[in-house]
Amino acid sequence: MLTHCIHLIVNETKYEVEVESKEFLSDVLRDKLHLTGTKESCGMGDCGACTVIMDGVTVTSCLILAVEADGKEIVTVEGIAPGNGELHSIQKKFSEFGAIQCGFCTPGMIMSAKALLDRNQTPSEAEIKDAIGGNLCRCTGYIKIIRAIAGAAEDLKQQERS
Amino acid sequence: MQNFHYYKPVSMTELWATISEISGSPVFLSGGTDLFPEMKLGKRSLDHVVDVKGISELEFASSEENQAIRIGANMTLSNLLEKDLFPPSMVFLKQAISSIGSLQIRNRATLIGNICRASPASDSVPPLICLGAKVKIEDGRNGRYLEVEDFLKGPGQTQLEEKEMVTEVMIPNPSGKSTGSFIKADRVSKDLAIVNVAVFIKLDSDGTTCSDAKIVLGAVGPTAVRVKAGEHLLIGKTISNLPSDEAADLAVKSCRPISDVRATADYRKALVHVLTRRAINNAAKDLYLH
Repeated sequence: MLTHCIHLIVNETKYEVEVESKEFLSDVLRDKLHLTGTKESCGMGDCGACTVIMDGVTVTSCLILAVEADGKEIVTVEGIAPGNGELHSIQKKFSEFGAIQCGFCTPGMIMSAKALLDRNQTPSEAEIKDAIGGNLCRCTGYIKIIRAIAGAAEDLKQQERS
Repeated sequence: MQNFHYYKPVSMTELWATISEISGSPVFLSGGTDLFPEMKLGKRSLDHVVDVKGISELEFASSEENQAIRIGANMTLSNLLEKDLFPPSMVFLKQAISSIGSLQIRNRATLIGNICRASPASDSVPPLICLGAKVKIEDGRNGRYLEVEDFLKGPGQTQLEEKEMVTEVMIPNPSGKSTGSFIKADRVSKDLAIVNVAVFIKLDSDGTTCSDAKIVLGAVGPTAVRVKAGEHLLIGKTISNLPSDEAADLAVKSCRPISDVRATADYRKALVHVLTRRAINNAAKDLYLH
């Protein structure tokens, strides 16, 4: 088949979309669902800018056909804030620690950080570096990003205690 | 980019029925982490893409006590790494798999895909050759096993004919006391190898002499390079005194690296010497101390 009617569950919302076989998930998220938080940079799965969480794990959406994502649960950067105007701890810490310069790698970085903290609440520096190893940043030199993620881990731990 | 037909069969029976109805060359898709970049670069044009991820029969990774490990076409590298599948003698294969791509890539990519891509720089291939791994090739009527070493023909070329698919990788469990070592040199982390080396050493029954050895180099030839002369040199020698330096010399003589964006041929040759020597010493030390 050349075209497909698919269902995507993005940030807990169900979408029904008509796609051609050749359309990639990154393009459909941005152009059809108007969720432009996810960025495309290299388009080859190398830079990680297009990282989203699909069925609980990070993936580069530029290498996933939209039709492959039919029926899958996807989380993008638009979906991690708890609501009520509040940001997610990771977003807050990225801002506080100066981990955002041009901002282009940021959504992908945040999704990799989110996936890490979802499975490991007390990551070591080495584990943080490993989790963001597939996300390139040309601006910051990574140090503030790593500190922001460590800060978010602390924040989330404290929130859990209270 | 041109549109293409996409199919998603949900069983092996449906898969082969779908394949037989396609006129032309269908492409089998699981992870797609090499297929789609190639397509985007215009290196491959796709007319018919058959997604095998819906076939649960292909999602397995099993190991019985002392039996071969069998891994199906739909096992992602991440899922494979999470399983407690590899005995101590195969830890070097696990290390090699962990060094493939990035986390995002490993969450989609498959071991069989890595083999079938037939990249000269593949990280999984040298350890798999050390272990005598085989691929199972099926076409809907017959299945045959082929050693990975013989399956790979050249860069991007395998023994697969049109409408054939690799459904399984079978890795024999090494008997007796043995271990391997895998070392990868790269420019940055999450990079393709400049050079990678896998060494596998087996001890004889009294635990002092090398009874079998494999030395396999990656990224220094059109396919992975077996250093057979180096292997023969190690066999029969005492484990505490393996001639790793001489074997490394032979490794350099065996390789045919090119200069490319990652390194010059000369630098690769220098790396082959260092990494082969280190990998042999690491494996020997591991056996000697345990």
